[in-house]
Amino acid sequence: MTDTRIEARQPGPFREAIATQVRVLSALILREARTRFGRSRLGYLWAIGEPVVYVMTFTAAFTLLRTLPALGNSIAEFLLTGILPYQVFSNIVQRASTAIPANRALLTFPIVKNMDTIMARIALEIATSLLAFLILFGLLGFFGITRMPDDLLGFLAGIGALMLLGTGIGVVAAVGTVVNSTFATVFPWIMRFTFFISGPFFILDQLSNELADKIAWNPVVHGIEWVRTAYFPVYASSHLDRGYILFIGLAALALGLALERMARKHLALE
Amino acid sequence: MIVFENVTKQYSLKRGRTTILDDATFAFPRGKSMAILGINGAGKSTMIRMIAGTEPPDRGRIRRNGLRVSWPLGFSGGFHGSLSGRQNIRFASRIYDSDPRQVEAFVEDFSELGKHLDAPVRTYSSGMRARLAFGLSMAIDFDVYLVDEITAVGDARFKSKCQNAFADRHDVSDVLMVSHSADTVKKYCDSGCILHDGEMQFFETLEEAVDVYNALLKSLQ
Repeated sequence: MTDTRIEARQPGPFREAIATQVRVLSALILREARTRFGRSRLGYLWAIGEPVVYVMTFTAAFTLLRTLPALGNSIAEFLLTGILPYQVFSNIVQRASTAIPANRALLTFPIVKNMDTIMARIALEIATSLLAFLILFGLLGFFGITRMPDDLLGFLAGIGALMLLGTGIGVVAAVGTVVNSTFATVFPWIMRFTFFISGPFFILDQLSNELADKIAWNPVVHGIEWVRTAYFPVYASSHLDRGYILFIGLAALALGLALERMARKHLALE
Repeated sequence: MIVFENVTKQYSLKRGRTTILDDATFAFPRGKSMAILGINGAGKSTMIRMIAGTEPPDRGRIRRNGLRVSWPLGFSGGFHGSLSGRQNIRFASRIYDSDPRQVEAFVEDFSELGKHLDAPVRTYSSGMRARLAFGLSMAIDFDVYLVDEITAVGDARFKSKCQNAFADRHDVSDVLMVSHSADTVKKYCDSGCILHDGEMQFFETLEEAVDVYNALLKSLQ
């Protein structure tokens, strides 16, 4: 049975599939932005406010403890170059990890797949956190707390690496939290713990070699070292391994995609 | 046409497994609106979800051959409660590559929601939701409409409106409707099949299908 009406509508299955993918993703991102920021502008404000609160709290604490910054002129500057990049990473992971349950209703539309909702969230989060980051950095630069990074390209590359890592781990987390309840309980605690061993408060070279070697297993720390070596010209990290964070990021992404494929039947039945 | 190739699908319940399809190969031909009849528990809803693509088969392939297949109508789960009806409409028309303005105009007229269309969907009654959902699916051009049991949605006037909408598209779109009641499908379908014991049995006319189905019901009682 041939049906010319249908044939005529198809510009080739591959191009059609790509076009559909682009349409679905952009519609999802719009919808996500609308539901997240639509009702009030507080959502936008919080994207900037949250890291500010963190940095202020820790700056106050470290100042009280009379700690000197490991790098740079002020504790605030040192913490900012660690906490902000960390937040970019962790916000992506956090938003992604709840993408599936939050968008369950969307699966009524067969054209929308679970991976689309995860990717839409990640894309929106990358855009939001990048924007918040730039605004905040610019604002603080105006007050003289921060300055232009010494190696701007390296600085952005380090943040890009953290985004890649966040995307990979985010996809794993998104699928993991749905298929395994133990993972769902344990994962947020692991994330909270990694905050302290990812380097917002220290640089690897100030630790003992033994400890630094252990902490260097954590891929996040390389992202922050990457950013800091680019920001502070005096710092040449002896532990920084750019290939490692990129490799772990890509490997996590591959693992996440594979997990989603394997769990697809399970996800559909949820 | 939509083709099932060696499809096996089982459903796990607390006690044991039910087989919905067992290595079944068949096709829903274009140009026919078909009722898929089946007793409760035969797997009708799973069947419609498999056709839609929201649920994968255990084994085998389902090919839609480029046909635009609707989401299963009859329930309105796809709406976001905090977005307005209009925003939800725009979202759906975007993902299905339809002109948002045309879709909006159609739904506005069809659903008769008036100013509620700009209120968040969570404020809607279930009847209003159903009207929105139904209007939306009619506004987007699908080749095949999947209907999961048109039940008591809306009053008689709205029901006849739905029937007319389907009749209007009879020449270009087909309907696949699952039901456990032979009466409801008569208004929408011209042929039928029966899903029973892991097999699909096709019939030339709806009457034939309904007769066999009624006999099956009787034998099970």
